[in-house]
Amino acid sequence: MSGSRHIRQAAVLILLCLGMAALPARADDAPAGGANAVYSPGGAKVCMACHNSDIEENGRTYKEATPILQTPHGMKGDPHSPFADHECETCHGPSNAHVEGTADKRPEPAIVFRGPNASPVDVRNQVCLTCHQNGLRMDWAGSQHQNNNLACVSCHTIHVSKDPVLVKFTQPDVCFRCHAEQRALSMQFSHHPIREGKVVCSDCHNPHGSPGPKLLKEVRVTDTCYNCHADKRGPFLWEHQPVREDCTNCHNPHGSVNARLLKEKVPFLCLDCHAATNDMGGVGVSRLSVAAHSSSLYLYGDRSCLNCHSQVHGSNSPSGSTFFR
Amino acid sequence: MPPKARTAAFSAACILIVAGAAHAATGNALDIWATTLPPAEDGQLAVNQVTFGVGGATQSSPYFGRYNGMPSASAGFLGGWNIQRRDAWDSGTTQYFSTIATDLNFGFGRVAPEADIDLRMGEQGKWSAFANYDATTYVSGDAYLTTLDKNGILAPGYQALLIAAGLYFTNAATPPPAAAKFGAFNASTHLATSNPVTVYGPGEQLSTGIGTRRDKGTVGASADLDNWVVSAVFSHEHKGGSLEQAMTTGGNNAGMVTFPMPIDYDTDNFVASAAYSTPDFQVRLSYIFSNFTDNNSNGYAFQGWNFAAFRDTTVTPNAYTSYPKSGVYSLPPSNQAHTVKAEVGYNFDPTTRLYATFVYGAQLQDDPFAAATQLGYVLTNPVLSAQLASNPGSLGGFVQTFFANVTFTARPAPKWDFKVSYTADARDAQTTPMWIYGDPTDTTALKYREAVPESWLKQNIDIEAAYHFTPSTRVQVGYKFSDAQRTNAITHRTTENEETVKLTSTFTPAWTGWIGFSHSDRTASAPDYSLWLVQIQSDCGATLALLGCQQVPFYEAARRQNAVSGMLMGTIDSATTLSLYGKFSDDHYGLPPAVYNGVTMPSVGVYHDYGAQAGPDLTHQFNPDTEVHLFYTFQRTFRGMRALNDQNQPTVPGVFYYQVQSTYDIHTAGAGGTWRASDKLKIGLDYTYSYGGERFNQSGSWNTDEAGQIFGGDPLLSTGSGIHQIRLHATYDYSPATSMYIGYQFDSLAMSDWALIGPTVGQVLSGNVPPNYNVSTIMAAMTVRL
Repeated sequence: MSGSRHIRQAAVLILLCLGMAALPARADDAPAGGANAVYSPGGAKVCMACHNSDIEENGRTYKEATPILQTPHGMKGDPHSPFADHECETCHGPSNAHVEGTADKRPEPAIVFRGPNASPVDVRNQVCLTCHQNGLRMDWAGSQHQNNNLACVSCHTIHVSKDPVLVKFTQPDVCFRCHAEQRALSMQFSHHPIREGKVVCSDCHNPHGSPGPKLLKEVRVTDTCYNCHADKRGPFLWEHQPVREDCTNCHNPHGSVNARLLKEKVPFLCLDCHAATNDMGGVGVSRLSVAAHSSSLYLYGDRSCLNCHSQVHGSNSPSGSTFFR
Repeated sequence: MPPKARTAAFSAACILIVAGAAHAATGNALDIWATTLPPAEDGQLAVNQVTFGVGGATQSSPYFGRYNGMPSASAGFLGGWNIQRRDAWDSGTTQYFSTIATDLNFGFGRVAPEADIDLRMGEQGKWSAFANYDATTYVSGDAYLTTLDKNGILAPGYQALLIAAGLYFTNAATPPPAAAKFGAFNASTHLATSNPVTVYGPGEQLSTGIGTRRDKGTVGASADLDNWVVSAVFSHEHKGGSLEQAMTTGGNNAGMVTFPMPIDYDTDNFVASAAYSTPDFQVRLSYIFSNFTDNNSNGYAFQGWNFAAFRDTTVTPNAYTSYPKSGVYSLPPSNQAHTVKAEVGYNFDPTTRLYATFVYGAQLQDDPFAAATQLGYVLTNPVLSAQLASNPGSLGGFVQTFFANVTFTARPAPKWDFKVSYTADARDAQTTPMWIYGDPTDTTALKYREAVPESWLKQNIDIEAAYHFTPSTRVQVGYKFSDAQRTNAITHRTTENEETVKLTSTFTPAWTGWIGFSHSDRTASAPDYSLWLVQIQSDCGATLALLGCQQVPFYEAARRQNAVSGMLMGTIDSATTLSLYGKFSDDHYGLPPAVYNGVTMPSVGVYHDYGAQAGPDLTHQFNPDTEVHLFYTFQRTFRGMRALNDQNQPTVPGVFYYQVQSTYDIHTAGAGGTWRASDKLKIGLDYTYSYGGERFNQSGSWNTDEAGQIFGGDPLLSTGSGIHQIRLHATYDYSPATSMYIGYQFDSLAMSDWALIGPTVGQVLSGNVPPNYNVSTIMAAMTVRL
């Protein structure tokens, strides 16, 4: 099929979807807590009367909730804050039944965010998205993490003075709970300084959703890398096309067994595309093949191909067409 | 300068330490030097406290100190804080202030090499402001051997380096005297060495430290205006130091020299944005400006690197046996980028949403070109110098980028989810293609090549539909069509169809997991090798007769990919959690046939690669005071490629082609635990081991047998590196307001890599020897809670 035909088909699909928007909402979108749920008349002070310390009840430990009062969520004076409205019940839903209950017969709040009785993920996330669907979270719907049924509280901790995922030196721990591959790569000899606390996952990724690949902050891999490596941006007189296209053609940004985060050891990385290119000398012998580079030290020693072709990201020298200069 | 002797530089005074692992999060925990703040416990990060202490390391190792600012055996002070103040929650006012500082380390031979200080303040709901300072150091080596220093000056033992018979280069403006001490390039290794008749002696080459430091300052502010938030952020970063670099001083395997490339960069970024948001409608407009300045490209003494080469005409008056490339070594040109971004999101209802992004970018670069050559015979030749003079003075580089994405998600019916997305990504190189005179090929002409930038348009349509069999079980199918069109590329067009299936389910209240499968087929248009013809005409010949110029890059080649992945997470019992993860992805590339002298033959390049990852992660709590964490991750990456051995013998089996199959394995394992020995004392022990290795399998006949070569033969040796880290730490709470931390960490790296083995004495090879180390670090700190 031609590309233009696919584009026309996509446009038709989009129009159909917009028509679907007129359909009624799903039955499971009913208010949390049921139609008869009411808000507690005492507000947060009633909640804090019990939740001002850890609670052991029915074989479970409920952590102290009052640290939220030291966070933006707990600022009653900000009209955008949940505490400006129904305080705790802005997020947990009308929960007077929970307040009125007794230790042996206490229903959960209307919306529970953690534990075995946690509310459905969609319900929990809708609470957060009511206020936080802007900024970095605009592309959450349909994103990879949403498709994997992640709740906001899978990564965020709300009832603490400082959410660890929002702090540079504790954020990687949160991501590595699921992303074991990246944890392992970050521990290789060649790595971005993640475990040293200088680079964090959110320096490159937007876990809330992104129109670019791999949940990157920018819309392209190259643009993400240029945020810190602007010396590679160019444009250059002599371009190296795989560099222009995608830095991950050669590099693994999370870590590698090879130096300089290279995915493959040189010269084999270069030979992936240059297994046969002839030499400038025109002597009819393939220069970049192993046999023709008569000095194995050139080909394998130290920086291998980069011993001479060192301007591999691009050159701005008139004599740099083969990245020697 | 000899390598630093190993010393045990303990501080006799206090020895305190840092944060160890976070609640037995072995392997996840940051490096012992990463932060001087206590760790997060049970998901809570302690605030309103100041930490200060002293620490030391026993061994000098630039590789251990690569990112932690401690490459030398030394001791020093360390500190940090985490403080926040906020108006009472029910006071009606919302002023706040917070500051976090980590790695305020002094002594250790450096000034706060990894410091990070962050200040934030504001009136929540009205305005906010922040400032941040961040330092990052990178140490590559402390004994990098070079023939040239950072300023292009030859090492003291050299007055000139002999490139070829009668041709040499020197930093002097005139040829060196006949009695000058010459360096030369070994005919076998092509590395610079001292005078051939003398063994290299100490002091005749330079040994220098290689590394960089970034210092970045960022300030920003925002204001809340009803449903609007406007903000501006400005950052400035300076990066200085040097990086290891190498280059050839001539063509046809002429001499290679290593040198410390000067780094002196400034990068400025400015971001302004205005965002409007309501629960159902959001818009954000942003402008981003980035300016990169290489302070070496203008006004630096040599404008990069200059090599003044001289030919002794008494030796070879007219004939040239090599093609010298002596000239200025260019450095990254200064450049700018402007980006305008618009995002809009609209909720038709709680389950139906439209999101769109539009991004326009412009990249500009117009630094003066470095001189093509400094060779005397070129500059004095009227024909060649006229050719050089006809070159443009700069690139006038201008590249536009366009990006658009529209995503629609909906729940059109009970139990159904639907998503459709369209993305377009374009690079429009507006830089005028130009012909440039460059490398001299002989005494009569300079090489004349055309620089043609690449442009592309990449589009994809992504459709996903999911059905909820039960509230906890969901199956999703997806289809994605991708189309990429490129100009000035080998492959002008590729299209790809990808199908995906994914099942997600919470099987029991205690267990949840998912498994997914994807299949994609990418087709590529017939390759157009004329690009090689244009850009490296003399290499490929006018008729592309040589097989050597018929190869398609793997990222443009036809490909079939299959991938399967899955994860299972849950609780075995009330005290034990377990997760299992696995992934396998397999690619087969369709390389088009090539034609050589009228004979069709298989072309060369990557034909197969695959990757696999798997591993468990287990946490068990023996009792409320004791917890253990175990994990293991295995990764394998394989790549098989076919390369050209000697295209002059196309009919000789085994001689024409050779294959290399590279297999990379990574094993990472960790074990750790914490034990609260008493109400006041908590002890932690963590161990991690990570191994990375490469194996090579080769077939086909090839060799590199020169006398004295160490890499000759088939197959290549395996390489590998193993890193151990053991950390023992304890926290003692003297009082509700004070705690003491003490800890010991041992780090060990052992690496074997044939690329880092030097040849013989007298060869000036860079000091990149295997970076092995064994370093003990002892640190202690006191925390005062405010």
